[in-house]
Amino acid sequence: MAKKLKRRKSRGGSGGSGQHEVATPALAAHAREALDGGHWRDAVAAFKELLKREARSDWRAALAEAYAGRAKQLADKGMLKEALAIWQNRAALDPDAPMPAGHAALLVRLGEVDAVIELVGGGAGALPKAQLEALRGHLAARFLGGDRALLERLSDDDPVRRHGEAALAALTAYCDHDDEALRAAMAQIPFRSPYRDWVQVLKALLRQPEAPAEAATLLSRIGDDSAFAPLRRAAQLSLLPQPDFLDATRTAAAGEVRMACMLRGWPPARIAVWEDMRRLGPDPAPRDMLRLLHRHAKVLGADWVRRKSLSLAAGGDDDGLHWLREAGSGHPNRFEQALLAAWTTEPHRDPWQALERWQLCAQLLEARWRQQQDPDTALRIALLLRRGDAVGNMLGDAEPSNDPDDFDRIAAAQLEASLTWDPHDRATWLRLIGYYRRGRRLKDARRLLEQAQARWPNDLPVLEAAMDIALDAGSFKKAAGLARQILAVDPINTGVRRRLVDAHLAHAHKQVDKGRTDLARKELAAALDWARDEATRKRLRQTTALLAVIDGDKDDIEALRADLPGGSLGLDERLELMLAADGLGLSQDDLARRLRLKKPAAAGRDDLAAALARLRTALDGDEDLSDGTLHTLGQALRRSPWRELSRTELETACDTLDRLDLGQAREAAATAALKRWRGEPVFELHRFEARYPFGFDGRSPKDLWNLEKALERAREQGDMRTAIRIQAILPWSSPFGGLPPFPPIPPEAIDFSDEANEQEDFDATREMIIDLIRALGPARAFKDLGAPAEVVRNMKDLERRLGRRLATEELIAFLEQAGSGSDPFADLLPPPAPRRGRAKGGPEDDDEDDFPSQLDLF
Amino acid sequence: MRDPYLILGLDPEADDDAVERAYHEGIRRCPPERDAERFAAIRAAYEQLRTHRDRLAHELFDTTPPDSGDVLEKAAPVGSPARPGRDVLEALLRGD
Repeated sequence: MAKKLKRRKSRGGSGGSGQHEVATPALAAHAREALDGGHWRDAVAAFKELLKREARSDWRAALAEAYAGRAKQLADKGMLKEALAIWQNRAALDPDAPMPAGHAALLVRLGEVDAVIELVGGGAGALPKAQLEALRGHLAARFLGGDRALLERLSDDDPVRRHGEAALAALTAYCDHDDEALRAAMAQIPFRSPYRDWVQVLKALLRQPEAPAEAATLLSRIGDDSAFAPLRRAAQLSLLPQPDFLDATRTAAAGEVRMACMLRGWPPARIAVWEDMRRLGPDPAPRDMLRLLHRHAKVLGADWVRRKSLSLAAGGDDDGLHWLREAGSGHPNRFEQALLAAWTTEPHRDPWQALERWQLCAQLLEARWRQQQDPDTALRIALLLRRGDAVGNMLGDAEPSNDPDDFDRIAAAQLEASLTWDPHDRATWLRLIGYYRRGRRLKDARRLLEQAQARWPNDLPVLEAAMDIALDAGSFKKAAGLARQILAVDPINTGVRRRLVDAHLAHAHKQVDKGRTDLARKELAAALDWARDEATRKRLRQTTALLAVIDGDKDDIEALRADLPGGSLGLDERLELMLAADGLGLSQDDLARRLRLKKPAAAGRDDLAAALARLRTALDGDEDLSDGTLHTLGQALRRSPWRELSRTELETACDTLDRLDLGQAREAAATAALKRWRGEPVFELHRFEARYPFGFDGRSPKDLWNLEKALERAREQGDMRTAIRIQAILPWSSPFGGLPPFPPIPPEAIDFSDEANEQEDFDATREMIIDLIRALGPARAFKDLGAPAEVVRNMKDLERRLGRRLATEELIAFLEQAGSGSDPFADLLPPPAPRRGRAKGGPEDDDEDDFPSQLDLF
Repeated sequence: MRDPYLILGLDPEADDDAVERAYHEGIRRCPPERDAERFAAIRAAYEQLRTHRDRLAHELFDTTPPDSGDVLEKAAPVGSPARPGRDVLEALLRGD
């Protein structure tokens, strides 16, 4: 109480003293502004003060208006008694004035109906008709709301009394689902009745399930000031679509929400939870949601609440356990704690930690399994042991490392262990077999394959794995048997045939190396048996014919020459011949000399296009092209009729030549394209990259200038792919978006002899490299930058060992410490160092850190 | 709603057949041409719970926090539209 008094005193004191200091005109302006802005409390205080200074009638009217506004505001907030006090203050300003409708409605709402009845009954002449009707509406609603004695106090001819019984009967019939009686009761209520809005509400409620649009129209006829407006609002709320409904219920009155929920078919338990939930706002914090779950655990189910609580706690990282205890969840058991820890590891993508934590979960369940050998627990253990690999894709493309502590080896061991708990997961068997095969650990692959074959003897993927292992081991007879088995089930399996052909070809190459062309012929004949498509068969026949060149058999060579009129083959045919020679390990010089072949050249547009298509096929099929072939091709392509190709063909050609590392041919193609499409960004990029394959030094200012202009043009054209590629090779440009930090400088303005710029150049280059590493990861970034292959390989190795995130961090830290130099890669070129595994104590290693030292990185 | 059990209206003990039935019932009620979003949710829920192994994996690895829809659906699914009780109507008529 004392507190209240103190508060009131201070508020009155400060307001009064503040307003005393203000001049009357200023105070009047402030009061009017507050009134117009709906700041009722300020307006009341200001006008009261003004009236103390001068009893002006306009200020008195304004004060009455401010009182009315404030009273309505309080009533809307549910502060009914406070609102009534304000209305009484207003009435005291002019005791002879008629009672405003709002005041009367509030009295009805508070159950103090006598004054209103007197007003309606006796003073009818003093009230406007509309106000009188509104007051009767409030009395009617009050009567239906339960104040039955109210009717007795009204005169017999008052419409509230005359239509009261019919309105009440309608209420009873609606609640009893007696629609016939309801319609009969509504028919007794005339249009000009205080119960008119009540009838509209009932009609809308009846129509709502079948005709919501019609119901909405009926509801729209009820005014905001109507005594039945709360029912209208509730019915309108229930008609909203689901997402809008949930949003709207957050601000609607509780009673209206309850009615709307019932109309939508919400059971009481759902309504109770929603009433609690809506207090949390539209996007509740996990911690608040966790508490809510526990408050309603009985309804939601203890198991569900516990499981979902763990999910919510996982979002809290280190605070998760605290949240659980705080919400009353109790302390999680050891397994739940381990699970939480493992969950929180996953987003950070730390492979070591993930493997360790999932293994701990599995171990805890193993202990449980020993007590009760439940098959579900065994399956859970298997799933936990597979999780690290499943999320991190640790064995996806990995080859087995030699270090048993490397994470791929640990992941593989966990996967193998998982098969003892759940041997029915074929995918895991095949994944492990593929992993060991990639590392040529055929003994391990075969061990697993035998177990898988025992389970699934006729399963296609298992048979294919068996065939691949047989091919790896050179067991062609066994592979052929397996291939027949596969083709019996799946006759159109072209992959099996292709693999067999490739294996026989590879074997033929080996036999040629050993000087056994007779055996190589047998291999090629076997390959021909398996090949079905004409292109492959042609290639095999050509390869067989080339054995004559190796054998030095003059008759056969002559016959072969006869097939090559004048030694002038088209580029496409010559390429096929070169690839066949590569397949046998026959050098291009020998081939050309013995068959007296001229230097290859494209015979025209079609020949060039066909040769490029064949090259793409070779690249896609991982066919090896010898250095001799690439050299011969490179020379031929430099002189090719590039101008005759279309724009798309030229673009594809540049990409293909990029993949083959044929820089001069690529430059020739790009230059030819630029003659037709001057300044076209993608060809500027190809020409620049082809001209400067190592990307770092010795670029001419003119070329840089052209590339800078191409970047601008690519951005203007919306060709973001090219823009990003150009940005990545420009030393001063931010690789990802935004304009360059300074505008392009024309070549004539650049003074390249200025040594003072060296440090700035170095810093800019370093920044660009760091940005690129951050965006793409070390291996991809260095590849795009044209770094030496050895550096790229080391980056890949680093990523594999540490995970991309850690590798990126380590590398950036290293680069940030690096000193100035003309070549940022100079520091990165590797000294001889162990390449795999965790950092180990060696003669030069003093610490036992989990991460490799800087030297070990490279 | 995010919980696949609630999306398909399944008990936690549901077996493969129950999941299959609930899925077919769901896509029959919500074919993609009528409610593509709901159909996608049903399909995704089915993928998460299709086999016993999938269901155990969901139990162990799903960290999706529950949203308002999950909590409400778990508390009590929506039933048929109903008429509000007399007490509710009277309270609103009184302006409570």
